[in-house]
Amino acid sequence: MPQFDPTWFVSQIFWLVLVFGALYWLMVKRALPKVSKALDARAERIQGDLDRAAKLQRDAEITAETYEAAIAKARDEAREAIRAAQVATVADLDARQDVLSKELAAQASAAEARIAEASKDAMASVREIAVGTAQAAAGHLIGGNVDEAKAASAVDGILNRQTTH
Amino acid sequence: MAAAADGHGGGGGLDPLHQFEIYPILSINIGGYDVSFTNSSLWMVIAAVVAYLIISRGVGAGSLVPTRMQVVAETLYSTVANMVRDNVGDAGKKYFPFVFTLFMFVLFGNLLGMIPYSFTFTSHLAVTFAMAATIFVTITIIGIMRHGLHFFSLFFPAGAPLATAPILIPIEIISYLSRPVSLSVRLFANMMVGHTLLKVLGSFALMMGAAGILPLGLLVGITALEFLVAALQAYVFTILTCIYLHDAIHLH
Repeated sequence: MPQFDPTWFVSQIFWLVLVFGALYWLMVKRALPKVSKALDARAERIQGDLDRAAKLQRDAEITAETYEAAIAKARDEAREAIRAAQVATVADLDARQDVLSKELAAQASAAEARIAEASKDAMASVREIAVGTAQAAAGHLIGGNVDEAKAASAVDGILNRQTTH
Repeated sequence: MAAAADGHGGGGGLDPLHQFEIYPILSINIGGYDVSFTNSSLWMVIAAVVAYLIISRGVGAGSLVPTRMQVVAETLYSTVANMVRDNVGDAGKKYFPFVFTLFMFVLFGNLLGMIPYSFTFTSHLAVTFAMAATIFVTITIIGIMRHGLHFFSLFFPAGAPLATAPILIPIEIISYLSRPVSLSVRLFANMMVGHTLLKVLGSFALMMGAAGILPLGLLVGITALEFLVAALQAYVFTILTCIYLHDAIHLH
């Protein structure tokens, strides 16, 4: 068997060491760094893309949360505004009604005062006319002048009787 | 041997062992040693060049979307990288270039040997034993450097009863020392037997005339099997190196 012929043992081992050594050197210095660079670059790219996707997802979730919060806040504010407006309207209405009723009450009492005044005036005029008429009538009846004071006291007496009636 | 006598190129006839003959291409003599550049050396160089080009040219510019050859280079790289990681662990990272070179060199030595009229340098025990012995010595030195004298606990598994030591230790030592032998003989024998079988079947096919179609059919099947063996033996050689390395680094 040629395998056990020692003639070429030294040559085989010599060239094995030389060729294997050269191949090892070439692999370490040239070939393997290229492969690992290509693989690392791809792994990095994929990881980077995944990370970016995760970040975008997180961002989107945050945006959605912010949006939800803003919507909820706006809804609360609107509800509050409506409530405040209602309260303000009711208060305004009450106040205006108060003012109006006071005004009306004042006007009513003023009118009553005026009516009282007028009736008093009227009563006074009635008395004067009655006194005058009584004086003139009595003067005619008795033929002479009747004292005005007497006529006045007679009218007053009648008026008093009427008012006490 | 008769075949050896009638020269090299073309001759040899039907001698199935003729294909393993080594002949010098360029006679070189250094310090009294014959280190001629032989057909074996030539195929070592071719295997190394092909292995280098497949990785280096294959990766090319290292594009993000790999080209076909880049996939080949990257697959070879990750196969060996995973093998080293799975069998040796993270401590094996710095031995990866060596293991990878070993795998590529043996793989292409085996595969290129399948080319008719080529030479399979891995079918020579001198080559496989030189590799196995270098691996064995290197790994033993790595183990001793990492663990000092504690390395020798490899020969006596922890937890075994002390009484078993007189039997266990010699067995462990013999099994450890037989590693380079089994490693080299496995590769050499597989390659040699396969190539011899192909040659024998080929001779039958020639000799049997029209009936030679039967051994020819068998030859086709065995050729396919030999391609499997070529890749598998390179893988086995490499993975055993990884396992030995694991033992030296982690001590069981």
